[in-house]
Amino acid sequence: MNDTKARQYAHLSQQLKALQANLAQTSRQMETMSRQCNEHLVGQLGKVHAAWFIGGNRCFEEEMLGKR
Amino acid sequence: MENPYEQVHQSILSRIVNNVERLNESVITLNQELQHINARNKNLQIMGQMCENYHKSVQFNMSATNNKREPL
Amino acid sequence: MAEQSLERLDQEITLHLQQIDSNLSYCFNKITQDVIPHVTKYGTVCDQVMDSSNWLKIMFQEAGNLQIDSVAATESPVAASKYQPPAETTDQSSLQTLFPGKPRLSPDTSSMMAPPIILQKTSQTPEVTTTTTTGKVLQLPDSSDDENEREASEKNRTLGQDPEQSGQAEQETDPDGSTMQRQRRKRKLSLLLQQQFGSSSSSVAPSPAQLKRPTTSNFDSSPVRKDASGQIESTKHNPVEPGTVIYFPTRDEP
Repeated sequence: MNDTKARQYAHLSQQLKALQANLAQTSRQMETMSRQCNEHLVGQLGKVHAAWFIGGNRCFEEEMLGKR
Repeated sequence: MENPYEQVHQSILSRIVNNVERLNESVITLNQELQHINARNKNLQIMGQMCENYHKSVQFNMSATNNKREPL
Repeated sequence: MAEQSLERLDQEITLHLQQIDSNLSYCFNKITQDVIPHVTKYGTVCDQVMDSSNWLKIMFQEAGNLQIDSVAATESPVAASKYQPPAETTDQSSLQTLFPGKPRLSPDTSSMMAPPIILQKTSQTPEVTTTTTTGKVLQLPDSSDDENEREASEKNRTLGQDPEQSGQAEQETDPDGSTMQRQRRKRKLSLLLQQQFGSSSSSVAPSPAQLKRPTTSNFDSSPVRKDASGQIESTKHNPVEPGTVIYFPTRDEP
C-alpha cells in the first residue's frame, strides 16, 4: 500500500509541478495579452481603415468632379 | 482494520491523479491557444506600429513639401 | 478513544481529499467547458482580423521592394511585412536625414530593421533552434549591428536581395544612429525575445490553413474531454463502492 501511495504521490507531485509551470506560462501569456489589449489594437486598425476610406473617398470625388 | 480507509484514500488519490492529468492536458491546450493568439496579436501590434510610423513619415513629408492640406 | 480519533482523522482525511478532488474537477470543467471555447472563439476572431488586415501587409510589401515571394514562402506575414516598410522609410529617411527634426524615423526604421530577421529565423526554423537563435539574437546589440545583421541576413535563405538593402539602409541610418537606436533595439529585441520564448515552443504554424487545424483539434478534443469528465463524474461513484464505509457528497455533483 505504501508503495502505491508513494508512487501516486510522486506522480502527483510531478503533475503538479508541470501544472504550476503551465499556469505560470498562462499568466505570462495573459500579461502579454493584456498589454496588447491595452494598446487598443482594434481601435487603431479602425482608425487606419477610416483614414484610408476617407482619403479614398476624397480622392475619387476630386477625380469625378475634375472629369465633369 | 484500516483497510477500508486505505482503499478509500487510494481510490481518491487515483481519482485526484487522473483529474490532475486531465487538467494538465487542458491547461496545455489552453497554453497553446494563448500562444497562438499572442503570436497573432503580436503581428497586429507590429502592424499598428508600422502604420503609425508610416503615418508619421507621410505627415512629415507632406509638411516638409508643403503639400499638406487643411482637413475638411 | 484512540480508535475513535483514528476514525475521525481518516474521515477528515477523506473529506479533505474529496474536497481537493471536487475542486480539481471543478477547475477542469471550468477550463474545458467555459474557458477554452471562448479562447478558441477569440482566436478565430483574431484570425479574421488578421485576414481582413492582410491587404495592409500586401500594400506595404508592394510599396516596398516587391518581395512577395519570400513573404509567401515564410508565410509569417508580419515578419516579412514588417521587413518591407523600412525600405520605404529608409528611402524617405535617406532624403529626410537632411532635415533636423527627423531622428524619430530613423531609430524606428532601424528598430524595424532588426527584428524581422529574427522572426524569419524562427519562422523558418520552428521549434528546434530557439536557443541558437536567441543566442544569435542576444549577440546582436552587444557588438556592431551591421556585421551581425549582415551575417544574419546572409543566413536567410529566401531573402537574396534583402541583406544588401538592409546593410545599405543601416549604413545610411547608422551615422545618424547614436546610443538611442541601440537602446531601442535592445528594448524591442528583449520584448520580441520574451514574446518569442512563448511563441517558439508553440510550433509556429504560420499558414491559416494550418492554423485552423489546431483549433478544430481543440474543438474535437474538448467534447472528448467533456465526455471524459463525464466519465470521471460517473466513475466517481465507482471507486468508492468497494470501500463504501463513508461517502461524502462533493460539490460538483449537482
